[in-house]
Amino acid sequence: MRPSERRDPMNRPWAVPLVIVAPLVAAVGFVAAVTLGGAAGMGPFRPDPPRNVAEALALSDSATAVRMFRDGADPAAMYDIRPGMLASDVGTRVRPLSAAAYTSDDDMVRLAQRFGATLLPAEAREVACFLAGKGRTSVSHMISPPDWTPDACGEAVQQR
Amino acid sequence: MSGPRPWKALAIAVAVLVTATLGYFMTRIPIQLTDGASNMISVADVSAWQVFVGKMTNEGFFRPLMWPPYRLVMDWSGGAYFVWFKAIHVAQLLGLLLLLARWVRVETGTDLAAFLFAVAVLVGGNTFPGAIREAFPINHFLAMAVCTLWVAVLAAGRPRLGKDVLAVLLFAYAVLTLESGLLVWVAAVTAWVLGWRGISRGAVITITAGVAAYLVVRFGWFHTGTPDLVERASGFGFAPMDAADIQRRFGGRPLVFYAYNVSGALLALLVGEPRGGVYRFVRGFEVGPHEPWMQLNVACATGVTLLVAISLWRRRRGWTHGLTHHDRVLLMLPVMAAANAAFCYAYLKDVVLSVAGVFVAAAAYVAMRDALAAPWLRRGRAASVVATAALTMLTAAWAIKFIGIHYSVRKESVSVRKEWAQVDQWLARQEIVLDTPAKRAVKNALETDALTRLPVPPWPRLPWSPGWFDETQ
Repeated sequence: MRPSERRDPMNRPWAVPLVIVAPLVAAVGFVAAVTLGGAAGMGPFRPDPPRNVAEALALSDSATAVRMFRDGADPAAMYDIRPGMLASDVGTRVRPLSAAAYTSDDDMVRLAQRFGATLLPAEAREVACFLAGKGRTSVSHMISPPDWTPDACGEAVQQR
Repeated sequence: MSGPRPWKALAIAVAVLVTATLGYFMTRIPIQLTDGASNMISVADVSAWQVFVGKMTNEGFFRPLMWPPYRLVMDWSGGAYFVWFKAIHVAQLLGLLLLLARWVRVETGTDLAAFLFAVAVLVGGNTFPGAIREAFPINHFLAMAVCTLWVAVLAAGRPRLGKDVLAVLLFAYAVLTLESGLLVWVAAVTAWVLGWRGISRGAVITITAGVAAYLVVRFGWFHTGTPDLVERASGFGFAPMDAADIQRRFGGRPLVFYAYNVSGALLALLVGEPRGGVYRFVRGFEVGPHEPWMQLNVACATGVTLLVAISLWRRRRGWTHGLTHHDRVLLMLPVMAAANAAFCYAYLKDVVLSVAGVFVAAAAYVAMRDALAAPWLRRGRAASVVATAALTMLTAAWAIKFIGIHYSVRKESVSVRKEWAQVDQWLARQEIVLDTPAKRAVKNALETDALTRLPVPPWPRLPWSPGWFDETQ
């Protein structure tokens, strides 16, 4: 080996193995960081659980929603939810049944209703029409009066 | 660092670290409803012995030791079911990784690098997710992998009477728990044939006699038979089929379906396809662009197969002078892969191949170790760069799969918690009646764990994760 080659770090016996396993070392490190952040509740990977039952439903975290309902969360109250959890045009203050309906997930709606979540008639119509505009009429029917039809939304649906 | 000790210690540290991180995610999955809670509820009012006797006469499956441990652990736990069952699960994982470290013998820095690769191949492989996500309270697929690898470790060491006794006990437990427990026997015999003498000939004969006894009891005495075509859903060609489809299509010629499954199982180990009997990657050429995770699956499995094939080819000349330890580790793979594939004859499911997956990882260790020590990595500049780039791409692909398994386990914790939110409706649909206080107590304890004690583990929002992580596993 010439002196110039000897100086080349890639010719050292450990250099090539180190380069080859670097992605694996990085992967283990990344997962360890996520785990430590999660377990310690610190850093960018700390858990960010729902703060109220509407957030739980909006995030489709049904287990947390059930726990909160059982712990006494009011199924008919208005709750603030953080921006980004629901579509930007539905606001950040909703009742649990609205939050569930906006996920377009039938199971979430059923769960909220099982714990007594309801909406005022006007709110029900508004949410039902919003969902009908997105083509989710099955959820609209679940939360609105039996005689409700998408036609009742008129232009509102077409505009969406 | 001088001597092998520091490297062995570092290999143990890797095993512990990987267990700790993966264990953190595993312990955020509540005990599943299907097969988990339902099995625990089914043994809530009976003794372990009653369960053992009762399960002897099942049709199609002879697994009398599968259920009694649930009962025993439930008794020992004093109601802390989740803690005990999850502790067992994490201990199984740690045991498997430590056994792998011991079997492949990590003694140098290059060995440690190869071991890290082997761990990624084991944990990130397609055969593994079921071993940490499967619903049973005690994961029997992981138990089979531990038992089989343990016997290989015993065989590779110095002979001792205690090892013989342990090997026979491991076989007895495995074979009475799952059909694939017979792989413990295959491992013991293959190790003996390859020249390992850690388990004596007497013990190998005893285990072989145990296989004969098993067959007599299963088929001659209890007439358990084997699972038939309608036992499970499975894939064929480009689509999954339910049991009725399988019966309709192959009822008159089951051997065709069995041959498809066994050959598919071997291919799944070699090239990562089919998955559950379905050739998704091949279908991708017809229906549209492949998702990155599909390409990754095939590339990772094929890369390891090529690496192992190169290693076997390069080592073959030395075999005339006798086999080294690592020759034997490599040569265990074809036998264990073929034997494990045979157990997939009735239905093709990735997790049934989890024992073979362990031997793939061990062979990957030897192959990577050989590659890292190969002179062509340092010979000429161009060849070295190409080889280094190819190997780095392979490890990078496996690194993504290693991260992906954590993502997959996290997804499972979300989905199982959702199931528990609807537990009463689920029990009604399954016609499971909680007609005794013991059954209700089991359900209530598990429900409390699922809904109140276990937060979903965090995961950074990675915009590319759905495309790159295999969400089917």
